[in-house]
Amino acid sequence: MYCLSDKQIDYILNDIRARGVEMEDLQLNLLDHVCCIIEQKLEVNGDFERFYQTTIASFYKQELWEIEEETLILLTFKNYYTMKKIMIMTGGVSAFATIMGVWFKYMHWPGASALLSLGILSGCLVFLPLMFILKAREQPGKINKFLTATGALCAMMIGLSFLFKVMHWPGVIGLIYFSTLLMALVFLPLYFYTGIRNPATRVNAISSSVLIILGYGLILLLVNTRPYIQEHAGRHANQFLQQSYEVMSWQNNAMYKDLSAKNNEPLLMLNRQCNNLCSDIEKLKVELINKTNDVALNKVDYNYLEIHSSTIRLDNFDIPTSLLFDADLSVKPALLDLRQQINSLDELARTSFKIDDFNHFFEISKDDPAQATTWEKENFYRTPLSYLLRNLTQVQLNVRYAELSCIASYRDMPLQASLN
Amino acid sequence: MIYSSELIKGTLKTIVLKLLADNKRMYGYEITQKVKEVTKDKIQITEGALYPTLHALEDEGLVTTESEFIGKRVRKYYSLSAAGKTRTKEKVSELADFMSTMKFLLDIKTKNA
Repeated sequence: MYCLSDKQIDYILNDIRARGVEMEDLQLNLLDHVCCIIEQKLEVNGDFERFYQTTIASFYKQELWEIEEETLILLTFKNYYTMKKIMIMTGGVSAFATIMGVWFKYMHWPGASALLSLGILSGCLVFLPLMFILKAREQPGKINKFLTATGALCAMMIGLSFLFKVMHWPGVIGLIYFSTLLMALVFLPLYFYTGIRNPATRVNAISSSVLIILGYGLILLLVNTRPYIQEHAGRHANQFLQQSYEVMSWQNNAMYKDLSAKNNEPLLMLNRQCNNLCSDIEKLKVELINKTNDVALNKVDYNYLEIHSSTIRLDNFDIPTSLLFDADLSVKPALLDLRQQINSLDELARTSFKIDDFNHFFEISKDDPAQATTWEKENFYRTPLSYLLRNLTQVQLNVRYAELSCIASYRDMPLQASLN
Repeated sequence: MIYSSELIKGTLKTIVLKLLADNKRMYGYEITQKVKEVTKDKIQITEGALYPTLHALEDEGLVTTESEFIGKRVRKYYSLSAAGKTRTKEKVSELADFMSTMKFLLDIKTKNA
């Protein structure tokens, strides 16, 4: 029977610790076990070191700490396998429902919200917490457990904030700010710091950190460029509408010439009234731009608006609204004048050109004083300057359309008379 | 013939509980040796399976422990608690029942084949 010295016992205990077994109870059990085997089986003059290494190697398949892992699993997870199963199942359901939800959303099919809610809620409230519980147990040390916890919390809140955003639920801003701050100030620095200190995880930590920052940065970029795209799409729409209006004006003028309008009083009046209305609207546009931005332009200059992009920001509507509406929401003279001119054109169209539905071009006739929404409020109240300009150009274009239908009606009158 | 670890895994708790019921108190190495001896080397309990099971039994309150110093090292003795005694009877009869069912099942299969 071999007799172990105290030094050899210390050597074995230190080796067991060095092999990653952290539970003291287990260390002592394994120590006693190895000692028993050595005492029983090693000859008195045997090679202790070699015999110990072979013996301890027979305890495990790959690493000694497997025993501790198995112990922990048995100790803490009587329901380990059920939890794992639920985690895998909800993970699958969550991924599938989210992808389907996104697809349904793109296609504008019904059920997109239900699918997205199912996917993100099951992912954030079941899958991620379970993953955290199961993963945290495998992580050695408190810092790693804390890292797993903050990582899971960040992921849960980012996921939820996306859902809240899509579903227009309140509290999005808070969720996004909190999760972003938590990730940027706590999770990432800690993850990076602990990762690069260990040579085995250094490359992984660096590449994962870069990927997280890149991924999150790209998401934020998309969120932020949306208003930019809207603003600039607005400018193109404005210019396009302006061109249509100009073409329409030119075309109407050509028709007046064809019909020798100089000799016809109703046509002359129509032409005059339409021109007056359109030039008043043009003046109103210039005035709105000048007063909103405190400049002195002579005409609407879309290039100017493009360069001074603050003027076409979508939150730029307070000053334009104050120029068109009083505090009690009643309409100021500039807009009142527009409506009066349109009404007088309507009168002219009905009496001289037998057109009854002139107003439908402006949808003014739908206005019901009892209703909260009027034509003015719909088109001009709390509307960003960029949209306001577009709506005014649209009114000009509608005037030209209405004018055209009057001219066409006049042109066809002799024909209709002869038919009758 | 040494039985596969899959077969032993499901019965290990019962084996340990039964041994403790018969031997009052035992330590880890002793348990492995006893099993080896009784089964004539047919069942060899690995350290990787035994200690997790012992810790789990302790956590469930089925066994109690006493530590004794053997020179510089500590030896942990395991013995059944009151709850452990009841549980042992249940586990043993469950396993016996299971074995007779298995026998029945395999017999039928053999006959049919």
